[in-house]
Amino acid sequence: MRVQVGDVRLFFDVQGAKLRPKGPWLEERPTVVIVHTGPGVDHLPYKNHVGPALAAVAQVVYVDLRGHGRSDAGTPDDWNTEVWSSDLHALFERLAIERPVLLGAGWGAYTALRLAARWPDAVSKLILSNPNARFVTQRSVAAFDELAGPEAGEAAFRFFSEPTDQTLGTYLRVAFPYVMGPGAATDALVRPEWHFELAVHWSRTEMRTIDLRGELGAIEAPALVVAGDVDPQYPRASIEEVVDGLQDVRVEWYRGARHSVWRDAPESLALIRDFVAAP
Amino acid sequence: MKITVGDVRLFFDVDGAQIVPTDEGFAERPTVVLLHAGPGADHSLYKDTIGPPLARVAQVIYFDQRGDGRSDRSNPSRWNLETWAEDLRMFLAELEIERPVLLGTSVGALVALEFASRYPEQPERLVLTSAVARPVHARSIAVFDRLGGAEAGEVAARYFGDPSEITFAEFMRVCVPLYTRSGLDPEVIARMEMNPEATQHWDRYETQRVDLREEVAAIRCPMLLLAGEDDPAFPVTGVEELAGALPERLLDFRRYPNAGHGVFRDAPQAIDEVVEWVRRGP
Repeated sequence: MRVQVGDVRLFFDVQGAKLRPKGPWLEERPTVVIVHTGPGVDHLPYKNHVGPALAAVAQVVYVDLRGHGRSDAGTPDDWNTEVWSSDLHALFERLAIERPVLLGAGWGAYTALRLAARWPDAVSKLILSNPNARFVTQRSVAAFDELAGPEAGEAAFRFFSEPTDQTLGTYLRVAFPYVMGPGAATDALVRPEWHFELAVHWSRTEMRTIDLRGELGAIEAPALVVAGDVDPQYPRASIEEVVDGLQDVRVEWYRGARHSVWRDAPESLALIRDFVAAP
Repeated sequence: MKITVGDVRLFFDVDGAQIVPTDEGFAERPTVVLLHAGPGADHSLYKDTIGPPLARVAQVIYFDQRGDGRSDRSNPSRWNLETWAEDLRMFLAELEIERPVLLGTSVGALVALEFASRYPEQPERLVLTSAVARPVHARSIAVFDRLGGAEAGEVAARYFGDPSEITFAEFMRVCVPLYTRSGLDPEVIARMEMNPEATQHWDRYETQRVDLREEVAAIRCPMLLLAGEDDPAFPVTGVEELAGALPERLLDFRRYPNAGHGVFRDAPQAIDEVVEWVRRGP
């Protein structure tokens, strides 16, 4: 389905009913809205792992952010977390989605955190996988160097310091397999619908300036952070900055897990599911 | 979820994703919009019957018609097939649901027929359960008589003759249990957010003027029509009348003995047949 929100139409998909028969009542289940990672990919990869696991206890809403997947592209000026978080908030109002659980994965956590900070009442719980509050180039480059070797470190440095189609291409070929794990990286490149122009644009613009550390204190929703300790793109020190800034947070580290925590550490799915189902 | 459609907010629920992972990548599945019986009932009637099995092969959209369930009540002058069909058109447009399969039961099936007659290019297919072209109270009374004895027939006659709170209460007690042969689970009734005023309004005013026999000839999509042979609400004689008015080459008409209103509760094999019909595609 696709629905008009402000000046764009946003694609969303749903798994699991909101109301289910339970004896003489219709039981109301929580709604989980999944904010995909990126920039430039879509919601589809979440249908393989975390989405189906959560649909057992909740209604899962997958959204393609503006500029991504099947949603309208909009214009490059609006490709930033300020607009993406406003879009999602407007989508909640448009579809009467009340106080959802917001799941932000990797890059999607920027938008999820920003939304929860701007509208603390609009979110009941936060689930974050490998969230960062800002992008620290040297920290990520050093992590690529350490975890993936100098060639990957060099490719990452080139893309981060001069994002173009060429440097992105080299980064995706040489460095990205260490973010996802080799098999998963191929999947992540082939399966979703990529928007490379947006990926380059965001890396040239907001990636250089974003810093949510000062906003995290405004977030009231309890947060669960599932974290992999070997994701060079979102390094451990940067994840810890988010954890330190949140009021009500539980963090679970998974040794050896990379960017897709639930793929590398499937046991995290039960933890996330129980966090959603808890009253 | 809810969405504003014209002057009302309509409640809808969704089960089953539109795009699903496959071995080769991702595949798009059909969308089935479920139009509930009533008026005065709600979408929950599908949640323990056809909804969950259909969600294994399609995206299923449940919604409450204007006046019913969790949707806005609006007012009685808008509780009619024309308005419900227009609501459906706008609902589909707002959510960009293109070429859905419409599945309607009872009055929900009449909404599907009205919609498909007005906009023949829109639905991909129709599943019509306990559908008639025009409600004829005398036919219903005769079947209530046969199934429940003279008292049931008299109670039905009193209600249809003068739909009010008092005659409706009696109808609920004596006649509604005869809707199904296998016994109606009281929990199914308890789960509904009922609007008895909408039911009475329908039986007092709308049933007198509804007659789709001519307009349904405009329908251009394949149809699966299911009838329970022991349905007192929309008796099989009325379903046969509808079948005669529908384009014959598009129609697959199936009758179920010992099955009452809505078919699925008494003849669960009909659920598998509908799921298979939807899965197979046009």
